[in-house]
Amino acid sequence: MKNKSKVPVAQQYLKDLQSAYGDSEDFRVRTLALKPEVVVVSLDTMCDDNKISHCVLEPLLCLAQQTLSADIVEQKLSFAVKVTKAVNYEQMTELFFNGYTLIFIQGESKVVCADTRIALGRAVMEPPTSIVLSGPREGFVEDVKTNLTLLRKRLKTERFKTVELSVGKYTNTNVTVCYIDDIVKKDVLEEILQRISAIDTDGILDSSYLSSYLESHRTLLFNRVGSTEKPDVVCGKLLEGRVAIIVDGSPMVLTCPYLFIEDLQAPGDYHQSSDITSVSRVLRFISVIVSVFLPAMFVCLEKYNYQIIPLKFLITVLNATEAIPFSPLTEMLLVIVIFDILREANLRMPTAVGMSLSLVGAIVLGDAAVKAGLLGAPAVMVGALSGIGLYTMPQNTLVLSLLRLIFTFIGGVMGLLGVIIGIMSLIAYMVSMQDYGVPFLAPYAPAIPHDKQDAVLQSPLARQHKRPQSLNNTHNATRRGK
Amino acid sequence: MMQNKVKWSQIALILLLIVPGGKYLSLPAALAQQVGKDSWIVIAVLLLLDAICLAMTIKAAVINKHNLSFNSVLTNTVGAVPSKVIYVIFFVLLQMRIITLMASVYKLFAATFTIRSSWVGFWLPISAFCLLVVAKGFKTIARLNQLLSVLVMFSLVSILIYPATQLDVRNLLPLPQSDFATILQGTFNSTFWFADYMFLFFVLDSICPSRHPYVSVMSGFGVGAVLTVLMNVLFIALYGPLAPYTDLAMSKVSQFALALNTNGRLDWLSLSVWTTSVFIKLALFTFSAYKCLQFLIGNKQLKFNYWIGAIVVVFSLTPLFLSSDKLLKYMLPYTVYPFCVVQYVLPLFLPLLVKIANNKHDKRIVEKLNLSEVAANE
Repeated sequence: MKNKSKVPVAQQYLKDLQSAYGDSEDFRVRTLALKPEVVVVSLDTMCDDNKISHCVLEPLLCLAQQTLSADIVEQKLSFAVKVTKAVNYEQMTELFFNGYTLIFIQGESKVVCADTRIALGRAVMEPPTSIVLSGPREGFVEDVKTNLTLLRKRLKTERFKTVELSVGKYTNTNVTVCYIDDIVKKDVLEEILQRISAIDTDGILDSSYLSSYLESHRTLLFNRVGSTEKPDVVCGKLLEGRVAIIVDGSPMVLTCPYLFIEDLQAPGDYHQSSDITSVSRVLRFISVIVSVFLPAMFVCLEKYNYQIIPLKFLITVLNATEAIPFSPLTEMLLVIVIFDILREANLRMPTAVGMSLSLVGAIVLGDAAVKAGLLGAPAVMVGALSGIGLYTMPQNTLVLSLLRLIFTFIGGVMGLLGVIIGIMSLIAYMVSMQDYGVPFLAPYAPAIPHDKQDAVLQSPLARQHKRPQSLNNTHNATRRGK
Repeated sequence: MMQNKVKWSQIALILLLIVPGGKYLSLPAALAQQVGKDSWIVIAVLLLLDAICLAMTIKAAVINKHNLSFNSVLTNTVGAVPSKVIYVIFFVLLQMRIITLMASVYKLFAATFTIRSSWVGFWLPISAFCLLVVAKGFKTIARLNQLLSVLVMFSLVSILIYPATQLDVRNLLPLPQSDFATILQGTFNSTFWFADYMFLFFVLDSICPSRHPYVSVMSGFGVGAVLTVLMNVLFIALYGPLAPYTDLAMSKVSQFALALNTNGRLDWLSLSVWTTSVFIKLALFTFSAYKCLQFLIGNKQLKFNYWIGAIVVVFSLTPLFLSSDKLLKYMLPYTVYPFCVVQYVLPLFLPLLVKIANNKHDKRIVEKLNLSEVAANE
């Protein structure tokens, strides 16, 4: 990029812009014979024609009798649209490609930029990834402005602050960092801003691109940054002292710092009785444990330690697996892989046929495999139960599925010792993770008794007087009163 | 900085798990061979001695106002060479504890779960786990222990509660069966298996200050100690004269937890959960041995050094050439005296050493300040 910042005249900027981008089909230049001459430049594909004519051209033509200056134009246009003065070439091009219309006034050193962005994209609707039975159904969309509106609608306070950053050498993606000024821990906010500012990449096309830059160390398997499509969830997290990051073009809003326990919390949990929520969360927790470890334990017990299985149950299992030509490990791996293939296929099938095909596929394949004597009914049942259980933590389905495969393999090769050591290593890895000074497995390791109010069990919202202590925001820890 | 430190409550939970963890494998039978039915008295005496030394170690940590590490305390008080000698003794002691503990678990898995793997096949995953935990730091061990403590305690109680109703108190009588000299000799010979608080020396500078550390830590240790003694009482009461010939106490006692074998050996699941406390103990010893070797080599890096870690774990391949029983038989008669010095004498003097080291540190700071003042005046 040429450094033109030293050239003070807007006309020079116009020349540079025309020579750089003038051959683009959507590059539009309008020259107005005013005093002095005014050139209005816009990108047809990014700007709203109505806005340009009503909010830029008409007001400018009204000033035909006056001698124009950047200040006068800015003042006049600001009644209709957001207006910014670009002080250098880089800022000007960034705004230009974001849909701003550039107004060059002869002899002026600054370029007036009017926000004439075209409102593209879908309407606010219920997000498909977090459907709730009760509670708000609004979801974020791809437009950063709409997403901010959805947050502002819920946080009507001057303490709700935003910082806009531009990331990506070619995409110049708008990244908006949101927080509540007197709740957020300043160190965390500064670190996040610093990490985003330090990103040096070609482009950020979605919030998921940004996630890896927000992690302090490269981590295996687990999410270290939260993401949600629901504004009410983001507001809840902001009120706890977290930071939200909105990326233009992505309906997924990121939140930091992130704890593992957040994976267990569903958006609907806060719109029903805390007792019901607690039961649901315990069920989710058990489901996850069963999903990941049941196939491993089944293989391990069937292959090495069948004595643990009660006799009657053992006889049933042995009868069912007697004629199976595969070892317990191969049998279980086959079931898991078939289940994963079905899941992957289902995700990519057209919605109309997806459901019926996967259902038929599962039943026909499972039933046929058992009847043909290739797979045992207990293994199919264990695999299916474990596969369904994975979906109780929808954001981690793939990670849990991978862990399930690894543990099944360990259980089949090393038996009980391998499973125990594997589980301990996994927990050790998880407890060692820490980002922004917040331990990943808080509030259980380290134990933070206060934060257990909204962990696996949930106490009534009215009794949750304090914000989570694991986030270390000690300066404004209480939710009510002083 | 505080976030990299552990709390006293976490130390208490570590002691709660590691005091009974590992002492219910080969030790009860070995002790019964030496002192017969009075083995539980020996254990009680040794745990009492441990409690005194633990209290002194806590005292040392509390008065360590400059957060000096164990090696700087020793270097500043007894000198560089004696410090190295003490570290060598610790390293040998820890390696022997790791080998015996690992061998006991190996036997447990082979005898109970009928999993017969080679020593290398057994050593590899455990060593990998220990290295992972050591690389992640003491904080990880404390948190892992915190997360598993409830499960381990639950499994321990589930194993012991039913056998407790089956015991025959007559097996414990007469009390004491052996004479005082035999019990004393047995106590001295068994010191090797105790002093689990040793790990505290190596994390002296990694503990958050607290107002009442004694209450929580001594409670954790106390519960662990009571459980250990009760487990041995239970073992003797269940097996009576057969106790000296009944190796792997936990495995045998857990059988009593079953009314019917046709319901499946569900006690094995509890036993598996309980073994996690033994693995934590192994990780803790590996961590301490790593710290020893790091000091002996002169490595001052805060980052984990894989070479040192590899050297630490490679010692536990010894049973490939020499069984742990033979190792103890040959080595213990010569090493028990130096081991006793670092296990029981050093902790008694540790508060004094820490105080001297901190005073010296104070003086050095004052001298530095004076020098900087002089330099500023000039």
